[in-house]
Amino acid sequence: MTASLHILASAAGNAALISFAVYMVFVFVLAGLANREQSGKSFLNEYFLGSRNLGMWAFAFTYAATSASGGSFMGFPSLIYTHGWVMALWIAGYIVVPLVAVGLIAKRLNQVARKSGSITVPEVLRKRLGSEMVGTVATVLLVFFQFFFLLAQFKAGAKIMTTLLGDVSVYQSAVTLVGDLIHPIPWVGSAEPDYLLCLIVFAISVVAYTAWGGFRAVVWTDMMQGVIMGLGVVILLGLALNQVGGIGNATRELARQVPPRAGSATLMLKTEPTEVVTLVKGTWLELPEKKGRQQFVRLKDLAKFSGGQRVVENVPVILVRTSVENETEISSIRSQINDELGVGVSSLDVVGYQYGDDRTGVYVSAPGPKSNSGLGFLPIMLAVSFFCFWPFAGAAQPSYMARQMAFKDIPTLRHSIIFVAVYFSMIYFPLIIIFTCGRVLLPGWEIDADRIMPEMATLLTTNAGVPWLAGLLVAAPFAAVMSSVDSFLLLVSGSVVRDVYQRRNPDASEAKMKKVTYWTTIGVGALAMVAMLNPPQFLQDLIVFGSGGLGASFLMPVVLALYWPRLTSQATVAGMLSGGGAMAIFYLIGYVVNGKFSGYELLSLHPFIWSVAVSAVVMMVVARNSPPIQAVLVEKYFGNTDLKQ
Amino acid sequence: MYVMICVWVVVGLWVLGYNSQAAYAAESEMPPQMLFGMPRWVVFGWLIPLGMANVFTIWFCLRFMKDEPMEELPEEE
Repeated sequence: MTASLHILASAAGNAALISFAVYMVFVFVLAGLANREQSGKSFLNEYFLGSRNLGMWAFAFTYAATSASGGSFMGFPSLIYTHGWVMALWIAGYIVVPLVAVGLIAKRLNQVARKSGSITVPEVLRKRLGSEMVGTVATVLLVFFQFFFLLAQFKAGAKIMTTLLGDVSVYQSAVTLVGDLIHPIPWVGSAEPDYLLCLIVFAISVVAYTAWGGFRAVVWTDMMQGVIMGLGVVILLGLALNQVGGIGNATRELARQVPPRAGSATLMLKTEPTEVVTLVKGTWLELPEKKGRQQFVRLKDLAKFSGGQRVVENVPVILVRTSVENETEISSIRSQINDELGVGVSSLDVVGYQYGDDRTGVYVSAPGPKSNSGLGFLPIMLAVSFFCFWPFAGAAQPSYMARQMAFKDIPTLRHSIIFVAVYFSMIYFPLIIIFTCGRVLLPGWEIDADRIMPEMATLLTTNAGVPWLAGLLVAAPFAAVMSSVDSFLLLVSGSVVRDVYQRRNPDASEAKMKKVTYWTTIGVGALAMVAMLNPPQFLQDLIVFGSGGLGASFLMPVVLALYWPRLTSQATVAGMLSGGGAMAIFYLIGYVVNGKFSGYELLSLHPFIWSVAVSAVVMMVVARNSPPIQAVLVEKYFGNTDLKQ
Repeated sequence: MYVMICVWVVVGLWVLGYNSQAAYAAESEMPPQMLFGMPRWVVFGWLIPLGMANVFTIWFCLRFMKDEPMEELPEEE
């Protein structure tokens, strides 16, 4: 059994390596073609906006793929697995994202960017308001908050690669070599060698094709990545529904589930071992049935018995208590139990979730189970917050705005909004179904929920007798991460080159600009890689802080700059600083109150909501009390308008 | 712009209003009320509004959104 599983895993690993190699070849071919397109065109306009002539498929795919980052394929599945169907309510704001986030500003932003000849978001604001200060503040805030995203995606990319290549023998040899090389180096030596190797390969690949091909390469690879993501989700959905016995069966078993309890156990071997016995992380042990629930213990870490040692204490475990009626779930667990281990649990010390312990139905209802809060995962006010957060924070992300400045005409925009609406529906709804099925098909992954996506891909394809397909399915989240990293990389380097370097060197030749652009893209990528050598644990909080900070800084300033002639440069600067500053303050309070890096949720509302409100009020007050901008600018962007409105 | 805000408000009232009752009460329903194999609140409080919003989006883009000529790029471009 163990040998056959190993062979299957190796087959899947080699297939993954081949899929990955083919995928990377395509990426570099596209980058090369994009690089050839640059000849004979204005370098900066082509490099950062693809000469503003994106057609329907290119615009729609690049918008959707950039939006569906590593979070959609790693973090979101992990949350669905941990909290159940309540995630439908958590993501409900996405129902209106295509219409609100794209429709709210895309048309007007594109027109203003064309009229002003702008390439970046800070440049749009600077030219619209006629103020250097506006451009400078926007650039600083954009680079600051966007960098958090970049860091998080670098880590996600490297982590997916480690899962993707885990069983490949060439890779294992390389990991050993890297481990030997870095061991004596201070700070770098403390990084995990497999993670470091993947981080280096990931960073070099993505920086190289982004720097080489620019925006057009990013858009073309986004199209390919978007197709891979869509295809991966459809295949996973079919396999999951088939293997779980239909969605109705999955929901019924889910409704009978209760959250696991976590703690530690004392393990005892039935006979004294003559040599070292190691139980790997994820090992299952069966306990007697209790009150209609079959009990299983799963190891969260490895346990080692030395020769002659029968007992190991304080082994981190979870206790899964499954309803005896849950046939699929029980059969899945029992198929993973090795009866020949001869290990028993002599004592168990576990605690339940603060919300949902011993309660059935928590995985098919709101607010959903939560281990460290008695209010549950999604109290109603937090659901309201997220309904505001997704469309409006989405509308204010500069990486999406850059795309909205690049479509060629209104029919392209119109068809793209329809495409994105259908695409999002076909991605997020199936993901919820797939990973609620995952709770039944692969129980006990609370020990490492972030790995549920690749684990599901491997299980489903292996059960279906097509382990080679795992490579393609695991390539989907990898493609999602890459499509976000390349966009963020270009956005940050674009802001530095256009809004800082070119402002100081307006007479720089095109050849010089090219050189500076390439080196800036490489420099930003290298900086992100170095910062992620030893990644912090609170990365997910940093991502939310980054996206919330960008939304709070740019939502009101950009919307008002596009639609309100009376807006002044002082009000714009005040709006950006107060929005971004409010986010920082809420996180500072959260750190003091909660003892960890997280936002303080006043009245259970997300800090983003409060920060946008602060930004809006400050802008209104300052705009009423500051001199209007030059009349020529108002006339340029709004025509003849009465400024008293 | 006002149309988008109105759509957001209407969908928000539907999804949050309906689910504030149905989704939060579903925990006490055993066996769970199901429709098409999913919890009933997911269908009425998420899937149907999603479908309606998509239909509206298609109508809005094809029938309501007006065509207009794109601005010419300045000389320096």
